[in-house]
Amino acid sequence: MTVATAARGEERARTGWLLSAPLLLFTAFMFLYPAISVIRTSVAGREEVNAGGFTLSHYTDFFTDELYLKALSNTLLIAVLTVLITGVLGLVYAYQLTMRPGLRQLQLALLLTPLLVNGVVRIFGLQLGLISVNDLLMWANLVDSPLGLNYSFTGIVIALVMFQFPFMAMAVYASLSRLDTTLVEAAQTLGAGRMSVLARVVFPLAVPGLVAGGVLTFAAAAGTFIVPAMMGGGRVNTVPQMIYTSVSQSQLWATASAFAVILVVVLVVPIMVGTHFGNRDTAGVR
Amino acid sequence: MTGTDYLTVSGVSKQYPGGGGVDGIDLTLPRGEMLVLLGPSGCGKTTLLRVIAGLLAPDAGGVRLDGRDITGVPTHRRNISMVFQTWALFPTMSVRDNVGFGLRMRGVPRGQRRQRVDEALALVGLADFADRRPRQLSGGQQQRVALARAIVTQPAVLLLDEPLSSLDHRIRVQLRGQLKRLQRELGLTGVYVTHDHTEALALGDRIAVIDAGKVVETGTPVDVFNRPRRRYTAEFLALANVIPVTPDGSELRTPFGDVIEAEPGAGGGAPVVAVALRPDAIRMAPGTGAPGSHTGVVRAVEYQPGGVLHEVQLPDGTSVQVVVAPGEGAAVGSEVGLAFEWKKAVPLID
Amino acid sequence: MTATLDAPAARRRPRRRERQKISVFTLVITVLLLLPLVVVALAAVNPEPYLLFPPEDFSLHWFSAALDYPSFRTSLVLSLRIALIVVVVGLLITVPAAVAVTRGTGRVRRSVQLAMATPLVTPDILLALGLLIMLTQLSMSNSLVGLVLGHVLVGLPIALQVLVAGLAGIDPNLEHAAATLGASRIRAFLAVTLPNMLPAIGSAALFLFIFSFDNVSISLFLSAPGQTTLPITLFQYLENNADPTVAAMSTILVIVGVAVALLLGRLGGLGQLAGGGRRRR
Repeated sequence: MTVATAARGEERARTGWLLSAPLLLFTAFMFLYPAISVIRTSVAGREEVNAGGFTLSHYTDFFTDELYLKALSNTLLIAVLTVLITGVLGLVYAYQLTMRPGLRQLQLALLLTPLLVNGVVRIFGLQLGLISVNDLLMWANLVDSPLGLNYSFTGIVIALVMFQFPFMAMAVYASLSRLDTTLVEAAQTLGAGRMSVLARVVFPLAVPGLVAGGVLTFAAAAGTFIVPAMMGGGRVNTVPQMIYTSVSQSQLWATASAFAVILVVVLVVPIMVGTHFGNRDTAGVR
Repeated sequence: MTGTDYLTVSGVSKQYPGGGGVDGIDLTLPRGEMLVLLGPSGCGKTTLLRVIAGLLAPDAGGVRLDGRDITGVPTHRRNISMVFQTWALFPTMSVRDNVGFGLRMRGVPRGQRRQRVDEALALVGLADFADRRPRQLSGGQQQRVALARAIVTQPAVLLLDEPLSSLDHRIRVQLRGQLKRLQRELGLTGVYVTHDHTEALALGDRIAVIDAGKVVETGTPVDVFNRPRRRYTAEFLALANVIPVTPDGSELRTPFGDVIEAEPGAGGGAPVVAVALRPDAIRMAPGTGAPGSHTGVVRAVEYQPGGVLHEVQLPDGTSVQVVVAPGEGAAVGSEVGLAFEWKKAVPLID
Repeated sequence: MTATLDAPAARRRPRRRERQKISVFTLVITVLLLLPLVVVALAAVNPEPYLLFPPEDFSLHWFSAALDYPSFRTSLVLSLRIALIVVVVGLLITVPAAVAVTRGTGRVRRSVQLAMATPLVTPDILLALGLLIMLTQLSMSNSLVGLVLGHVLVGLPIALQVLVAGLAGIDPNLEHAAATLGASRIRAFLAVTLPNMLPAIGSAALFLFIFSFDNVSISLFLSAPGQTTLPITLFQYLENNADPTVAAMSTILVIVGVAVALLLGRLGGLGQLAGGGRRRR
């Protein structure tokens, strides 16, 4: 390398750092400060912001209280169910769209448009729609009493599937874009029937997308406050709801912080396992 | 099955709304031979191959393989193999799993499968690459994996869709030889699609020249290349001068006045419209005035491995290509005398 | 293989249906996803003072009622104000960063990617709680600063992704050509690259706007009396009663969302949502 090109490279690097500095500083500040604040507050001696002292009692309280543990198991169960259902639906959707790409742009636009509508509004619409479904089923004499779709565990999962499905579908679809139709034909010429093609050629290609979409969905489903708050009707308690009520109603800053830390730790483990598994499975593919 | 009807394609038509496809194709192929479908891109040769594979359903006509009508049989039950232009190796599987896929689909037990996969990989010289992923191999290696995957199942017919077209020239020539040797040694029946006539010549036991969805002519490579019957074939192969002629009784007249004695029935009933004359069947001498010769002007000169190719324009406007030994050439723009050895001319019909 | 396959009947049977262009499954899913939005709109045009679905008559009366309702109106104005500030701040941060990512060294690129990954994988609830604690500690919990900062953080990843994708589509040789014609680097960027970036900047602005305008998770924690954004007002209203007024306000939000989607479709940024930006061959 000549002196001139080395100097130009250095200049390029300097300009790059300069241009990205606002973003890097902003995110670093906005991520580190709140994270450290939450961790510090979670071990604070009193339930106040800026309280000093040190105790782990907020953590031990969590794991000794049955109400809290129930909330945690609710949260995880909701998240796992949401991941499984969106995974299956997303896989079928993405495969169908890959194989039958008629009006692909329009289909994708319609899939993504709901993501740009306010979440509260979408839940409200879902509630109205589920009431109509019950009315319809009763009218048709298919059920005697309304199904517990709204204000229930089921309702929370339905709403989360509605929210997360487009993300999962797009993640799987991006994976399947590596699916060349000649791969399917090649498998057929080698004697593979429909199911073999799906299981051995299509599904392995979709795995990275399923993992990526699954991680995203798991985190979103376990971290949401608004869905259980609106769809649960106060009957299903989850960790995010406890965090919110601790702060907004009781000013229990330390308790809320400890719950938040626990939630993140509980979330991070499956996410890391998922990402690791996903990376290993696709090694050498890219 | 013996004879020439191991693989029979009868009256196959497949039209596309946007044009293209094939129209009323009839072909037969004996066991153990390689048929090359030769033609320009878009002539329908790949469509025909996909109909044989069962990847396309024909509008009309049928395919018989080893005495059995397979027109209605789905692809995966035809016991065929296909090598694709893009090779279509499964990216999520290792080389071993790719090659073993067809055996697995046929329920071959694991131990036997492994042994046959190893044999097939050894045949194509990739025994050490079994645990790699396709992406980690070079183009030529990937092509050989695709070939191993296709032959390991001992298919009733091996279909190849321009399998060498995305490779460098040197590797292409090398793999061509390997492919021919394997096909002979294993006694494979094959259908090979290409637009490259040197590949057709090297690989085919028979060649079918295809144009606009129809078979123009079929024959052995020697027939098709040395004694083509159709004007289209001669023009597509571009190995000889195609000179238009007008029949005049038992004689044929060229635009520049030469008269050729035609054998009786040269066109097989159809009128002879042109003759093919190889560039080495024209003698060229510098200057003008030699008896029985025409005077022309050299328009272009191109050096080729076998000699120097001259494009010479005759006074009536006809251009012909003449090959002479290096050192005997003439400069561009100079006048030369041409003498045609019409005895070597091949009559062509439309 | 079985003998039946050889039978002439098998041959004449229509072997393979002509493949449909659109799958029924994807169609049904799409309709189900859009249905809640349609239901809300239908509930809003019903003239009766209670929620009725399907509506038996048509009236736009509840829309004017919704816009006249003071708490809806003030929070709508607040939401719009915050969203516009978020757009400006967000673009000021992301546009230079996008240039750094596409034209800078690998080190810069990796740093920015890492910075963008953190807000994506952190649950919103932790972010919101952390922001609230931070603002309380700094005695700023009653200002709009927290809402703006929080919304900018949530919108950054998608805005940056859109801008990087837009910049990556611009041939760097255009700038090189300008340089050979005598333009300085900055002039070349302003004259050649920036105009080509405008659709991407438009998309990024729309994403920043709608992500702020629609945000619930951050706003919920940072809202205080007198600074409640529209989605939070709707949430609180719906906790007590669901009537055609709230349906009408919700419909307005549906219309805003669909309008943004249409604009994004026009600018080619919609596909960036949910990581669908990778175009197929």
